[in-house]
Amino acid sequence: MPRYLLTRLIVLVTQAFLVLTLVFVLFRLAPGDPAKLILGPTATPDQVDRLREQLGLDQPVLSQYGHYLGDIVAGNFGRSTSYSQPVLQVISGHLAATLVLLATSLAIAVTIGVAAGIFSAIRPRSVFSKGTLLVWVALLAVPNFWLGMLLIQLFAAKLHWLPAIGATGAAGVVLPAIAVAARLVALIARLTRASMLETLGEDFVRTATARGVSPARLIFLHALKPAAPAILTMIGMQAGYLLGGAVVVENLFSYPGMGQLLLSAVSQRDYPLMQGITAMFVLGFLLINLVVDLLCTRIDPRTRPLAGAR
Amino acid sequence: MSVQSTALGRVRSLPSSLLVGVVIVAVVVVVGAAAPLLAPYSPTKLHLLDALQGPSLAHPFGTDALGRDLLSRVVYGARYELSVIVPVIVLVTVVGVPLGMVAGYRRGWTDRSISFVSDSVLTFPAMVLAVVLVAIFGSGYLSLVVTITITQVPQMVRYARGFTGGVAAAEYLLAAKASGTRALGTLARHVLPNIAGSVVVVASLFASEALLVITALGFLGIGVQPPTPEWGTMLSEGRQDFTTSPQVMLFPGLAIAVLILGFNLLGDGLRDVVDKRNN
Repeated sequence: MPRYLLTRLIVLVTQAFLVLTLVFVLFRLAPGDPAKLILGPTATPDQVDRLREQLGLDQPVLSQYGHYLGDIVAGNFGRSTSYSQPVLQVISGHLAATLVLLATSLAIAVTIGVAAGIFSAIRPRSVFSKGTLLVWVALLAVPNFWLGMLLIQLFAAKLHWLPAIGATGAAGVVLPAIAVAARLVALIARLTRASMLETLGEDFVRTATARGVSPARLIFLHALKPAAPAILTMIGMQAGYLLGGAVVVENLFSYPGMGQLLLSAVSQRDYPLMQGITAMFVLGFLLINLVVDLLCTRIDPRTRPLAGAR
Repeated sequence: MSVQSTALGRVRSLPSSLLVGVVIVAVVVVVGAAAPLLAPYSPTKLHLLDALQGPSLAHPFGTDALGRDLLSRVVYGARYELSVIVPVIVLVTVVGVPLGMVAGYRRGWTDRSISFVSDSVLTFPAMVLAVVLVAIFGSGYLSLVVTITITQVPQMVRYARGFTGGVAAAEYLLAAKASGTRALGTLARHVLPNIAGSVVVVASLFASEALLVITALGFLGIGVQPPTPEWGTMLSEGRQDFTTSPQVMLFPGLAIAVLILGFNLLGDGLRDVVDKRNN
């Protein structure tokens, strides 16, 4: 395991390096002079020169690239032009909010998705099982921002159960988290159902039933365990959707997270901040997939590369 | 077999999801194409005195905050969404499939370099990449089409590479190779026809992803700009009033959901047909 972890970490660092390079290239593709764009048409040539110098744009591209990578390793993502603060400092407060939102979404998606999947797999011909399959098809067609609007309309405007837009505290997370989680709930429920139906038909399950293993133990230990790696892999595959969903849903709910910050950076033409946030999102994507891989090898030893095998 | 041989029987034997999907997409295409004939009012003309009316006989979907007829806007919206989705799907297929086929067929360093680039782009969450690209290149029509294409091409490369890998070991390919057919000829004549079905399945699922990205950008206010009746932009414009006048978000949102449902059912149904034929 430690050896596997080490190789996986080396892969992660290489990927991170490549992706950060891609972020750098992406932002150098911007047409025109970023300094001029940031300052707007009223800026004097003097001001533009000073900002160019501050952003390091007066140096050759390769040296800019070297500084960029070196700074990131040192934990410096540059200076936000709209906040006049280091990018990392601007990001840190919003990062926590987005992590809370994503963690809540994941918790909702896994709990409801797995529970619904189990119930519909136990009684595959029941009304519940068939009905939920239709619900999942419908849910996969609903965009998260529209679902968010429907939730606000129902729970905040009509029923007054939950605060709507711009709410702080735990109650303010619930509706945005549901909006982000919905698609994942549908995907996880379908996957759990399919995987459990397959496992429940296998010989070892029949043997276990014959041996007198209790139904609860049978479901959670024998039938659910094989579904776990598939569910984890699904979460890894949907990581991009989760992070992107946060951008859109945060905007609807005025939720003070990274997505909101990205959009405010876009409207302020704050390139250093945009670059820092993009880098964070991509690193987050890589980290989620690392955790998924590690958990999968934990649960299912077959996915672990053999020791010493090349 | 006798049931299968009549045209009606053949249609009946198709999966129902495919039929529903085809009907939904066809209806949206017709609505978009015939928008000027179908829309009862102008989609952009203001009638401030009629602002925020609920559904009525005169305005079946009601009116928005500027008094514009929502039915007419939703109808014209179909036209706009399709005018982005169709070129995106064509571009994604034309760029992604050949790259994926070459990667899957040649293997070696060609495969490694193509996969390397597409996998790197895939580490960007599509929505984040779209927001950044639009911020850098602007939100004009061309820029939107290119942006959404860039977010989808790497996935198409990956799929096409997988499909090609699946048929690359087949005997007819070995035969073609042995008889001295050049790689390009083999890909065009033997690989492409065999993966075309799977590519079409993936393309219809990409259409719903493309619709999600366009409408989300419109919703964020950085995609299609008002007063263009784009469904996501309409939702964005309705943000002020949707809790008191739900019609401003109900109908544009429903339109998005129905078209996504159509593309998804179409893709699922086509997959069933392709799987059955391949086995």
